Amino acid sequence: MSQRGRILIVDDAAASRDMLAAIYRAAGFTELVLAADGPAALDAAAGRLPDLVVLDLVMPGMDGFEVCRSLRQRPDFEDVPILVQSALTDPADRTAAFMAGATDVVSKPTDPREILARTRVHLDHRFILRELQEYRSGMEREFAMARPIYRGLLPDPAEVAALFAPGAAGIAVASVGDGFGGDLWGLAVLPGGDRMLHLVDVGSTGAVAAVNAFNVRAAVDRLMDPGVGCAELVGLVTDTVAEPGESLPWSGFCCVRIGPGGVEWAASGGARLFRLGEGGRLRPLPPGMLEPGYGTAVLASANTLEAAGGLDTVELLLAADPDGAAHAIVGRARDAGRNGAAALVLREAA
Amino acid sequence: MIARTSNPEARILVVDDQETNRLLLSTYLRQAGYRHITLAADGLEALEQVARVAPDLVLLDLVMPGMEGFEVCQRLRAEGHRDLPVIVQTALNRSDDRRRAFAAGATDFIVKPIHPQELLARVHVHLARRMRLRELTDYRTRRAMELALARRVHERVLPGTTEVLLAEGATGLMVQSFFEPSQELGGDFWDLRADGRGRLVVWIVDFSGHGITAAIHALRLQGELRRQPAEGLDPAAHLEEVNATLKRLLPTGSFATILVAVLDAAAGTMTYASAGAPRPLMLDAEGTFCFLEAGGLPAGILGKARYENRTVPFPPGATLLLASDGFTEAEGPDGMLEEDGLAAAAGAARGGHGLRLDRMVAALREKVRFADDLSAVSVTRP
Repeated sequence: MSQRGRILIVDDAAASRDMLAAIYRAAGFTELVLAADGPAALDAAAGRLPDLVVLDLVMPGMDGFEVCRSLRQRPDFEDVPILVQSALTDPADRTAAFMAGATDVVSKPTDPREILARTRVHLDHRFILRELQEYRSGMEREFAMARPIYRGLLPDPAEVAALFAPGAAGIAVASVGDGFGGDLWGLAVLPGGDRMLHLVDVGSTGAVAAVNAFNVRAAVDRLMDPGVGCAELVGLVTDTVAEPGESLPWSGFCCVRIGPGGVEWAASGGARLFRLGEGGRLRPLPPGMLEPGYGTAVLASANTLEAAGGLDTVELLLAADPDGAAHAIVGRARDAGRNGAAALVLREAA
Repeated sequence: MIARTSNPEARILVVDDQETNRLLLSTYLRQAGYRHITLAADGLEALEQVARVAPDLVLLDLVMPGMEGFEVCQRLRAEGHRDLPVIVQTALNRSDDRRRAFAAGATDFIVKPIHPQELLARVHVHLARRMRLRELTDYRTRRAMELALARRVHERVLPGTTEVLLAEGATGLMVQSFFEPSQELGGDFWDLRADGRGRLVVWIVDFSGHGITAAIHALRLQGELRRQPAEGLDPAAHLEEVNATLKRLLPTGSFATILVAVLDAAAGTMTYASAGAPRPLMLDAEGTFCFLEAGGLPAGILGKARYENRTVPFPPGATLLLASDGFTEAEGPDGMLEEDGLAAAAGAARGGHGLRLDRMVAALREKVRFADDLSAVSVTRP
């Protein structure tokens, strides 16, 4: 029966090479590559990756230790088993082989049954690891393709600057981490001139975060309308994207509408608007209208605020640098490991 | 000198009937920094400890009174501890003993007297491999769970029973649908709207590729389509707009095939336009069928692509079937299903409420194996 596995045999003695090849052939292995010295072994390994290397330690020129070390420096060799064969019986030599990166060390003269038994153990592991590794690489390639599209959900800084003139209201910052998830936000100008902001803390990761984010965004874009208030919009989006009896596709969702009459807002889950009140203390606001004279307000998800160090820290950041506070909050949340953080600071027109 | 472990939290079970050996081995391991070492004095105790502490590695003596190491090893493998590294350590060193140990499921074999350096090197190799295996397995489990959830989100954005009933009520037509994304996420979707003047607008869309990217493109386009009014929709003009949008949004090399049809029961016609979509199938009341012309450049390739409207009769008893190429390209023992195979299956599945797509798919599964995303929608004029 034919056995799966490409085996690279490295030995300077032709008799040993041939004997090993015969053992493997008799056991059904057909993909055998033979190398007579270190450089030939490295050349052979640079071609199609072997699934196992059987390596002699004592060779003239480049010895087995050096071959082992060179192979281990290659990232694609991380999971390839290297079975070292040695006539050296000193335990120190065997240990040195492991230090050089060997997976296993067996004594010469070769015991055919033992070397085949060990080969099977190593190949089994190799194939399982390779399959899992290929799954991960495939998934990571997919994420790499999807990531720029996901980032494209965030407003372009120039767009933000155009909508929020200096002194009028607001500085907004967002950063998205390596994965999918965390906070996403968007803004739009409604017919009539009101500005609409929304912040979603997607709350999940990976593919489901990506799909949820696009789904929620599509619903917001479709349902946003000058005649629809914030609370109503939050309700409509919830009805559209959430399945009854199942958890919401966000851990926080908040809408803010800024118009000449004031600021209106509503939220679902852990996304809140905080107003900077007396004595520089942040106070969570009940949903509804933000009365004129509110001064400065911060819109953020509970997860981002917590990662940034909580309300006390945000107060200090605001006090130290009101214009840079949003950046500072996001920076702290990111440093604390928050994948995707956003904070929006609204300032009332002067 | 003993090298320090990089896995001090790994749990190691030492099995040996000799107390001095247990002590010696655990001393070596402790000196290397391992903190969680459990001891067992015989085979039965070893099995109990494996169940109790779930070790990451076992050092197993072969010759013990009662249950021998060979049997412990076999039992562990039989009980589902397939990936647990078991290093046999023994004074037996005949070729036959080694063969038996490996045949019983040992991962590795070392001979007493134990050389601490070599023992620790082997322990390190096996623990590192186990951690790697666990890391990659956890990754796959997590991602697969996310994909399953994402697939459900994707399925939910398709028209539900209520939307279909409302559209049927407003247009007097009967609609059936079938949707099944492939193992990964897919880029298929379909949609429908009543246009407010008694006409039904139906879309079927297939994005190139699979996976997250195809799925988010699909969600995005569906969002766009639902934002636009369906009233007075002109299929060709609509496709030109959608094409321009996709050209802007999609990376080079990605595209979507789209067919949009406006069905008008009052006028007895169907007007449609195609962007590289599979040919629609029209069945009449007598069961004869024909595939309509489709063609057109897939959307998202060329910004200036033009599309054309085609109008065909849609008399009482007629059924329109729009199906993704996952159907016609499915393979069976007799080759690809092709259009004729699909038409035959559709003809056989006509029933009380238009075309029973669930029945059609069930019958097709007897003949072919589906590998791609499947989506289909049928509209019947009573």
